[in-house]
Amino acid sequence: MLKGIDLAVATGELVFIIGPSGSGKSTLLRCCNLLEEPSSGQVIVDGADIAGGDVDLNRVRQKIGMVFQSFNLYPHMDALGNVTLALRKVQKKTKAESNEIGLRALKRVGLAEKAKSFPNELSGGQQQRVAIARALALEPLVLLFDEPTSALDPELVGSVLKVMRELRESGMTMVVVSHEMGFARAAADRVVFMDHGRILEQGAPQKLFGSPEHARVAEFVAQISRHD
Amino acid sequence: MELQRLAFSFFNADVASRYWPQIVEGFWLTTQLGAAVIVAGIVLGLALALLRAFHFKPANFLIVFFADALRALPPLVVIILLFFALPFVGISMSALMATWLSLSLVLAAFAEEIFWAGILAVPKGQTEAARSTGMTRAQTLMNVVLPQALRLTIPPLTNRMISITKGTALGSVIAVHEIIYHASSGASEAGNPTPLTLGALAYLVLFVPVVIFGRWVETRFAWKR
Amino acid sequence: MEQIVQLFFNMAILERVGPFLLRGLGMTLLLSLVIVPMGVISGAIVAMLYSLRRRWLNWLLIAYVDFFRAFPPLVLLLFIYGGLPFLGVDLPLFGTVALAFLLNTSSYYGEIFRAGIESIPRGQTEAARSTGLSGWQTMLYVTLPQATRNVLPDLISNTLEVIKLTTLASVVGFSELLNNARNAQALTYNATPIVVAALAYLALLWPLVRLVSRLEHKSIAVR
Repeated sequence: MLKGIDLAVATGELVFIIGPSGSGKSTLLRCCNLLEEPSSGQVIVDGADIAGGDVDLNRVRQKIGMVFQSFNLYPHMDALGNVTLALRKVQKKTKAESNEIGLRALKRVGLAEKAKSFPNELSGGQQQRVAIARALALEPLVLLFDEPTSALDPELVGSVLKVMRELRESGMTMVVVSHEMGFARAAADRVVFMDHGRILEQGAPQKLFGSPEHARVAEFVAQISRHD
Repeated sequence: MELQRLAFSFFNADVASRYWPQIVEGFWLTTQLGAAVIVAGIVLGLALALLRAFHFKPANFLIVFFADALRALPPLVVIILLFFALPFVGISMSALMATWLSLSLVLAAFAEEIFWAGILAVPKGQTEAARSTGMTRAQTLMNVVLPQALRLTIPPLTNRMISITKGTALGSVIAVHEIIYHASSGASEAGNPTPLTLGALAYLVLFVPVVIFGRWVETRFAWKR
Repeated sequence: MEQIVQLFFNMAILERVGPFLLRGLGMTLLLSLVIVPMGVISGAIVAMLYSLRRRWLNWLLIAYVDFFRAFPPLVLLLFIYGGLPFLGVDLPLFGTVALAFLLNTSSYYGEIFRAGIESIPRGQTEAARSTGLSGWQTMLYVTLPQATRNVLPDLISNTLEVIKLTTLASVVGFSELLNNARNAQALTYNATPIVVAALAYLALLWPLVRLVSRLEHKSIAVR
C-alpha cells in the first residue's frame, strides 16, 4: 500500500497531507499510532521506534492523540465521561482530578457547558470538538487528524477549524489529513502530496499550491481550486 | 349436561383439594430450578463470549464447537445423555442435577452466541478511539464495547431465557418433582384430569408475567441507538 | 478406552438396533414436515389478521400468542394427551402430538411474522394502494414478501426449534428417534443407541445451526 515513505515532523509543526482518495493518506496517518502496522520500516515517536515491538504501545498512545472522521464518541457516556475515560482507566487518576482536567479540555474547545450532554444531543461540529478535547485531555505530544471535517455539514466545519487553528497557535504539533485547502494555505507549515502510496512532493504551502514541481500535483491543485 | 361433565372432569374441586399441595411444592421447585438455570447459563455464556473476544485460537475453536453442539442437540437429548449415558462411565448425578446442568449448558451456548453477535456489532471505530487513547484491550472491552453490546443483546436474550426455562418441565421425564410431574402422576392416580388443569394454571401463573415482561423489554430496547 | 467403545460405540448393537433407529428418524422427519408448513401458514395468518388493526381482534391475537408462548410445550402436550379423552375426543397419537406442537409453534411463527410486517415502512403500503391495489393484494404481493425476507433468520431459527421439539413426543410414547433410542437402550443395557441418536441429531441440525448463526450476525449488525 505505502511505498518508501520517509517523513519527519518537527515539534510545533503543522503538516498537512493531501492527495486523491486511495493515495494512502489515512493509512500513513494511522501508522503513526500503529492502528495500522507497517510491514517494514520504523515509526519513531519521541526518540523511540514504536513499530519495534518491545515498546509499551498503550503507554506511547497516551502521547499521541487522534481525531477521527466519524468522531467515534462513546454513545453511552456524556461528553465529560468521554473525555475522562482514559484519564481514569489508563492514567489511573482520581475522579475529581479527571473531571477537572476534562473540563479544562472541554473549555479549550469551547464546550464546557455541554459537559453533561450525550453525543446524540450534540451537533456534528460539537461532537468533533468533544473528540478533540478527548484527545487533548491526555496532554499528547502530537495530534493526528484523519479527515476531521469530512463528515460535517459545511456550516459546522468552521467551528472545528477554529479550534484547530487555536491549537496550532498554542504550539501543538499536528499532522492533518484533509481536503480543507483553504486551511492548509493559511495555517500549514508544510504540505505533503501523496499519490499511489508514495510521497510525490512536499514543501511550504505557497510553493506546493503556487508552483509545484510535479505535474500531478499541479493537476490536483487546479482541480481543488476550482471548487474552493 | 356437557358443561357439567366438563367441570366434573377438569375442574373437580374434590380432586383439586387433594392434589393442590403437591402442585404448590412443584411450583417452588420449578421456580428455583428456573432461576438457577438462568444464572448459571448467562454467567457461563458471558464468560465464554468475553474469552472469545481475546482471540486465543485453541480456546475459540472449543467455544464455537460447544456453542454449535449445544444449540443443535434437543435439550431432552442432553438431559437423557447426562442422566442415562454418563453412568456407564461411572459419572452419575441426581435427576435434578442433570436437568439443571443440561439446561444451563444449553442456555450458555445460546447466550454466548447472542453476546458475541452483540460485541461484533459495536462499530470498529469505538475500539479504535479507545485504543488510540492508550486503553488496553481488556479496558476497551469492559468500558466501551461491552456496555454498547449489552444493549443490543437484551431482546434476543430475554426470549431465549424464557424458552429455555420452560424446559424445566423436561425434568419430569427423569422424575424431577416439578409441576408437571406431580400434575401428571396425580391425574393418573385420580383417573381425572383436574391435577393437569392445576398444573397448567401453575405454569401460566409463573410464565405469563415473564412473557409480558419480555414483551415490554423488547419494545423498550428496540430502537435504543 | 476399550470399555468406552463397548459401552458407547458398540458396532454389534448398532447393527441390531440400526433399522429401528432409522424408523425413528423417519418419524421425526415426518412429524417436522407436517408441523413446519402448517405452523408457518397459521403464523402468517395470525400476523396478517393483526395488521387489520382491529382493537378487539388484536387483543385476542396477542392473548393467544402470549398464552401459547408461556405454556411449556411438554405441559401442553401432556395436557392435551391426558385431557382430550375426557372431552370425548379420540385422536390417534400422531394427531394429539401434531395438535399440541401446532398450537405452540403457530404462536412463535405468528410473533415472527408480526414483527416482520410491522417493520415494513408505511410508504410501501401507501405506494401500492395508490396504484389501485387492494388491501389484500398489497399484503400478498408487497408487504409479506419483504417481511418474510427480513425475518428469514428468525423463521429458520424457529424451524430448527420445531425439529428439536419433536423429541418431546417420546414422552407420550410416539415412536420418533429419541423414543426408539431410549427403548433400544433399555433392551440392550448399552448406551450406544442414545449416543448414536445424539450424533444423528447433530448431523441433521448442525448445518441449520451454522446457517442461522451466519444470518443472525448479519441482522444484529444491521440494527
